[in-house]
Amino acid sequence: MNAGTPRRPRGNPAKRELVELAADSRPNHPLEPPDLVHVTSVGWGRRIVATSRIETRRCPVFERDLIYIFMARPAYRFRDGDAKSAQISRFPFVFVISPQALGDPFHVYPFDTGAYVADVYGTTIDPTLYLDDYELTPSIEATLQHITWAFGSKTAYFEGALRVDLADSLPFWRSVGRGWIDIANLAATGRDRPDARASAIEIAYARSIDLRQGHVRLLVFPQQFIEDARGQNADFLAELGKLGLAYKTYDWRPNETPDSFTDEITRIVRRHFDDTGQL
Amino acid sequence: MSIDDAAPEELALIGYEKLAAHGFALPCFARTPGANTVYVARPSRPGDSTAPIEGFDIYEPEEIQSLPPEKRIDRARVGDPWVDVFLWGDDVFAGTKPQIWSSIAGIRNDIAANAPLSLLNLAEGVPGVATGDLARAAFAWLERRQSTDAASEWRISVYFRGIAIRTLRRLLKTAAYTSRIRRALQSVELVQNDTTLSLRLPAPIPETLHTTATDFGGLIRAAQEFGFHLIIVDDESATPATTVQASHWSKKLSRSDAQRKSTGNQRGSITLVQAGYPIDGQTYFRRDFFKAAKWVGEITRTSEVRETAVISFKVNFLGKDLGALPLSVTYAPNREANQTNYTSLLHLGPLAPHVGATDVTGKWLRLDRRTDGSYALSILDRAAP
Repeated sequence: MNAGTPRRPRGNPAKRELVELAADSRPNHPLEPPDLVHVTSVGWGRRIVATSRIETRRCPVFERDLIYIFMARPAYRFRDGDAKSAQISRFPFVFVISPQALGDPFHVYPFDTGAYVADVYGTTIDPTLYLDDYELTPSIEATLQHITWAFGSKTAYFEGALRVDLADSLPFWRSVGRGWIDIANLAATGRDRPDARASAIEIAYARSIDLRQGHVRLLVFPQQFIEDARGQNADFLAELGKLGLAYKTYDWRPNETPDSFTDEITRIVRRHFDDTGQL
Repeated sequence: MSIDDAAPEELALIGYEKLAAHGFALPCFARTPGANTVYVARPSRPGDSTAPIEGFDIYEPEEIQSLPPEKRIDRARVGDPWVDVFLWGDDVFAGTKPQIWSSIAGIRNDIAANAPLSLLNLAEGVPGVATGDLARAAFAWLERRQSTDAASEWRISVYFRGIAIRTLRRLLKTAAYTSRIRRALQSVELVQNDTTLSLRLPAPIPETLHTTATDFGGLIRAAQEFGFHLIIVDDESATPATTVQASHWSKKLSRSDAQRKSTGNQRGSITLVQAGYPIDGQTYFRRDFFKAAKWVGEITRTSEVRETAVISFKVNFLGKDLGALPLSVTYAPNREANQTNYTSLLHLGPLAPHVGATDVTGKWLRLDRRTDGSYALSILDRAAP
């Protein structure tokens, strides 16, 4: 972890309390993992398509080369992550990715760790806890257990709606669980400005994702890219065709706001999940 | 706080950040060319090309492109019209949308052939331009380049829905940016069924807005260009009506209502007005009495935004049972602006021969809404109790 993140003293192991809490959660019927969502800027999006790979990039928080993806939610990682947030929020480009053949993640956290480190969650963070206290078991199955325990269903998770009885179900000494609920409530839809990152499950992979291997289910990008003004998008469109990638477009306008793009992309991704029966 | 930290009221348009090699770019502003701090403008109504600049926000560009000195706009103030940067080939066009539209006059055909979606976006901000033609051209272009399915998807999900969302934001004003409404706006859907386009408004939009299709003149026009009629479906009317309240309304028929005007053409309809009831006669029939009917929006030949519902009435004409007759009710709020003091008309249609044969001037019209949602119409000699 980088210098800005409080370091855990030696001999003081991480609590992993969220793993314990979720371990007993067994859905009535096994959950299929929903697709993962990687949001980047259009500049990076085009480069990814051109090279057919989502490459790992140096993460200043964990000091590793990683790819950051959120489970199901089209949230984008905060600026201490892998790209400038201004570009991502103004010019979003989305990859919807199947987790089926990606192997085990490097780590899984129940929120955006970039936002955590950048102090976006502010006073909701319990100062007696360390970042890795919140870590989940690095597996897709563990994320589903966390969803079942904390949200009750994948739909509720997508909408950021925690189980109403969740806080009451925890004894007061479950400090990590309670601390996480405080953070996750920042994503609750009843808030004035819900921050989807606060309870979006962050999955980091330590390997690149090859677009030629069928992992990518859908791309979402501005409709300007499907126009071929004098062939300038021809290579991009040809590459999409070659890779067999499905895509949807949104209407990018310079007088729109980042919130508007977020809402529109959330709608398109939600529709993808509805159409494919994933939520 | 130093003076430089204050939110600027006036800046110069000095550059842009590219989205793509053509079309709209993100306009970038600064106090002077080369200044360290770059801003983007904030619209008063996001996405609405008629909305002015509300303010400026600091922005960290990745690869800002400088505008050539002759293309810079030295003064862009809060409250001014929105200014854009539009790219085509090696050219950069800066200004308001009407200014850019005028500047690209010589290359519009080239843009239309290669980037019809960008051209349509530009035209939507230019008063007097027939966007319907451009929208149809964009649809045909997508159909040729991709598929009919892809073109239809664009038409419904991007073009029509975009107009609907921008209209809703304008009508909802600041409420559009609350968490609840933002979530609801994500669920706004347009569903095509043959030639009917249904705009589905989820809760809590209907109860926040009390909107009707006539509020969506732009969408009705756009839909009509493709041969669709627009109806509004809100969550309340989509669910079975379990609590329809019985209601009635009546009025004494005038010479005009009886189609006995001494001059001019007969209207062919009866005005539905307040008639002494404690109601808002301008909205009551559309939003209450006939709310549950299927209202279809259209633009008339006289450019009037109008909704029509065809309603089955059980008709009694001066004691004679005529059975169930389909009669049209129209609602056009701009009739009020024309100082006609009514917005709703009951069109005589199949009742016209009876009204033609018998002068009903001074008789009474009574409309009943029953608890099962059905309607009855009576022409009576005297006011009903």
